Amino acid sequence: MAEFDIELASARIAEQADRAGAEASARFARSGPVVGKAASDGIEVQVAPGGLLTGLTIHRSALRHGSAVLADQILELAQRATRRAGDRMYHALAPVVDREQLETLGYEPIPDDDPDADTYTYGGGSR
Amino acid sequence: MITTRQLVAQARAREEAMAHVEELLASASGTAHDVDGQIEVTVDARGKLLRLWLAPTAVNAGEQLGPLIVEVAQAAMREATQDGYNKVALLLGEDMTHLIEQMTGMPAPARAEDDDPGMTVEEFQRLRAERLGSAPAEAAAAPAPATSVEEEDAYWESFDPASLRSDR
Repeated sequence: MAEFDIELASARIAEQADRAGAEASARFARSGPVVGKAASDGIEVQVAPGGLLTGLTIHRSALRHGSAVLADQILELAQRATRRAGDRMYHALAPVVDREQLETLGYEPIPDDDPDADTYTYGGGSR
Repeated sequence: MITTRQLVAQARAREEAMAHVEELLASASGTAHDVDGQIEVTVDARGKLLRLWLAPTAVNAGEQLGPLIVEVAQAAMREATQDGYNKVALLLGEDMTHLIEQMTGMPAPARAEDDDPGMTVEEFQRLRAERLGSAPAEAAAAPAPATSVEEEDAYWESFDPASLRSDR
């Protein structure tokens, strides 16, 4: 009995996810995979939505301040890139997923006047 | 026979447990380091970088350092995913956790084919014997007091090591 309930619930969730997934993938097909980027002082960071590092370029010039400074800079840039990826996901998914659910996933819009706000345009702009 | 009252109580308990899942996952994290111990990365269950430590000599890697850090972060993410599932499994049990793994399409890393299977029973017993080799008197006293030797032997004969969980 209890098992039946779980199966029903999971089937329902899977169906909802499929529907939202189909709409979302149509949007992502147009815009390309969502990433967040941040760069400064010879360091370029790229993260996936959620914040996982997917790319990190460190130019020789960034190495001369030592490892502790470098680690701090990377951490700061990764945080900025993560917020940007979250902002992109928020805008990409807001039409098909509840705002509250998006925030639970950590996808929040960045206010325009925030220093982390990035200047890219959504949907087809240069990335 | 289960009563309606018990069913209601079960449903409530499950609902309460589900409410904690998000909280648990938010608290999950994973740490990994490179082979040389030059880079250590901690991430949360979504992969967000929480901590990055670089040894003073790490800068010697030059432009190779970036890709190395990315690799370590991805290993840390697998640890964080496992940590999240381990926490959820304690709360919801194995079956429910397996269901969540299927729904998210993200199986627990410990289920991976190439995951380190850990120590075999024989290996454990050999190491234990070695460890206790210097104190054989203690080793003899250590086993749980069985009512008879025959009974204990019968228990261990039917004991299947495969029934031990290796992933949680």
